[in-house]
Amino acid sequence: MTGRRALIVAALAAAGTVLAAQQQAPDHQLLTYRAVTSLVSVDVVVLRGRSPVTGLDSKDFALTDNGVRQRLESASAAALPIDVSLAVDMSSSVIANVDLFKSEVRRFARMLRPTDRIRVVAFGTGVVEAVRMRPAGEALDLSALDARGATSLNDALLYTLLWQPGEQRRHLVIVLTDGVDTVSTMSGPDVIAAAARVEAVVHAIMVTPASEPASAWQRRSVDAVRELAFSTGGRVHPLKQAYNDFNQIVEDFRSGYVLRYMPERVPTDGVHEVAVTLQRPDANRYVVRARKTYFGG
Amino acid sequence: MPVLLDMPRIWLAVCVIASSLAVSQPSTPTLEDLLLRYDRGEFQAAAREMRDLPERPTVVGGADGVRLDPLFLEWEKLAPRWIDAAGAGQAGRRRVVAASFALELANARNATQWYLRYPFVAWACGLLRASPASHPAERWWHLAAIAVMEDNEDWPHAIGGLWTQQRAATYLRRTTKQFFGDADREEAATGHLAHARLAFPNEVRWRLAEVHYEESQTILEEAAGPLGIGGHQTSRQQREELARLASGQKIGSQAGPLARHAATAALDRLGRIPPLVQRYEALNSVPALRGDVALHLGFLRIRMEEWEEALGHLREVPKLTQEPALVSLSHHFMGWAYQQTDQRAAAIDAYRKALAVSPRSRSTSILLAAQLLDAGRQAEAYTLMHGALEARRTPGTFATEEADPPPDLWPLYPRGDALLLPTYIARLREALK
Repeated sequence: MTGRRALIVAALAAAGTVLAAQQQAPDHQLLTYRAVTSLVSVDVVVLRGRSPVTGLDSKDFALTDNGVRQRLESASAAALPIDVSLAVDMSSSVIANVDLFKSEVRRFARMLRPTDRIRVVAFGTGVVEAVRMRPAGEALDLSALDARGATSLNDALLYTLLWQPGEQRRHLVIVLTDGVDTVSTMSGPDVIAAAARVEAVVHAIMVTPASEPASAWQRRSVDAVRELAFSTGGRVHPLKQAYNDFNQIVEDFRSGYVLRYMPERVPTDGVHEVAVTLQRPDANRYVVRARKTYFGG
Repeated sequence: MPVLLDMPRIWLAVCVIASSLAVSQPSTPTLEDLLLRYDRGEFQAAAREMRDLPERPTVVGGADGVRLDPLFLEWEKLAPRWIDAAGAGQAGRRRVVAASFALELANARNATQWYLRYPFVAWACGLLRASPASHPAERWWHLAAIAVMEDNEDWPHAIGGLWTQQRAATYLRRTTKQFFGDADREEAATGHLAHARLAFPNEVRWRLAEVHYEESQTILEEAAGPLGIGGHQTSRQQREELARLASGQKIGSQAGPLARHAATAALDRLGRIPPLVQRYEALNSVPALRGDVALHLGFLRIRMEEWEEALGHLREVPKLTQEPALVSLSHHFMGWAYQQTDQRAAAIDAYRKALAVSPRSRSTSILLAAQLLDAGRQAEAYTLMHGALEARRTPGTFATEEADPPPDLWPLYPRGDALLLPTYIARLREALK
């Protein structure tokens, strides 16, 4: 089951409709499954200036799927617990002070809610799940983290994106990097395509490299990280202080909305382009960030 | 006079050995311990512990002021003493063991300090050259030695004569003079291949080594970045655009002398592919090389995005050779060709076949995971990639400190026989028993 499907099943279960019918009438299972799998959910954040806007509902949003206006079933304030995947570029050009960085990650984990979970994927030449997904309140053993090696950014991003948060959870990916991949098998566009198939929002905290990217492929690598964040509804942040940056991203994400709809008058398969706008007279005062594409299978 | 000239070097060696003994912990293996274990046939354990030998900074010394590796200086002192300590009947075997140990030491050095590998190889080669090849291990030693230098992409020392004097001089002047010095220039022009040929004139893989070098010279600068196969491809349209840029036309925002120069350089490299294909095809007359030839011809077709032709060559590889690295990589390349032509099921099948031969190969696992995700099998993709990455991890350490990872074949492809280095080392050890 994909992340998108899992999330949608959870939403309907909360409504107490479809799954109850499923249990009582086995003959309806196939129909129910088809209906469930065609549902789409899109994470949305609305900002006024730098402040997240709360208190909106489905009537405040307009969503088009491949250019066709869709009927929104719900726009819940995102009270769902979060699975945070922290992908950290451990090359020494990014993490100058490993001990300080570890203390900031621990502090960040303590700030999360008890129902949230956190995972740390570290990458250099290799990629390793330094901390497995675990409740945020548990102690984090970061002793394995060290700074060295080349940069397998894209491979690490694919690995991070493959995590399935399970029912009634959302997946937030925060990647800390200078954006210059040096040894990945995956290309930037490959990762962007993969992101369209999973239910995750990617935010990138970018460390300014010591020198400007020297070659065309380095520049493309940096651009691909920006595009990845943009395409999933996240954004790129310059590194100021890791703890505060992580914190701000989570707060923005938590104050967002999950729009759900069953696509109508568009073919199910292939890449779908999604556009979300606000339906308010003062809409131009707001910034709406949402996933730009998803893959319909 | 030679003695006087060598004095700083000898004194330095004495100081280095003395200081290393002073700081040695009981648990740290000494070079001599490892040599004795290697001689007893504990090859794998000794080779693993070579990686734990403490890294010591290079020091400036010698008559020509090059940077010297304290470990090599220590070895230069230890090895002759150990060989000479055996009776005349054992000296021959000990020479081969010492040469093999030195080669494994070179291979164990941190890849980022590739320039520290060559002195061990050169020293061992000199030792073997001092007497006619007589031990069966020596063939494997020479094959492995070439592979180690190809793994370093140290083509001057590997191939020698294919480099012009000018190119070798430039190479040495740029980054390696401080380690090899002017005295090494002649050796770089000669190359180890010449020594290997003298020892084993009938070895057909020497012919392949030269063509491997030529193939390395066709790789585009752009592909020197991340390790995706896609970076090596150029479509017909891209080649036409390069030609237009090289002739001074503007394409998009690309124009001017820099773009023209880059396009000309890329076209020069791509222009070497057709004669390279002919050289590989000529090697088809050697039955023992046909598996290698099919693999390389297949990859060259991939680079030109000629998918059917590529698949035609690659499908032949498993029929022509049983060498695991070649067979696994042929399936990996087939997976890529299928993936590029939207044959997802065939791509998944091919990647699985590659992993069946070379389990936990990182690049294959990643490409397969991406295909599984495309097919809507996210959980399976995660499990596969997680398993591959965990298998490459040394418990309790960061991933970049992989102590003995399973081989990842694709990154080795542009480095000639580095693909077969594990095989050569295994055969070398077998022959030493």
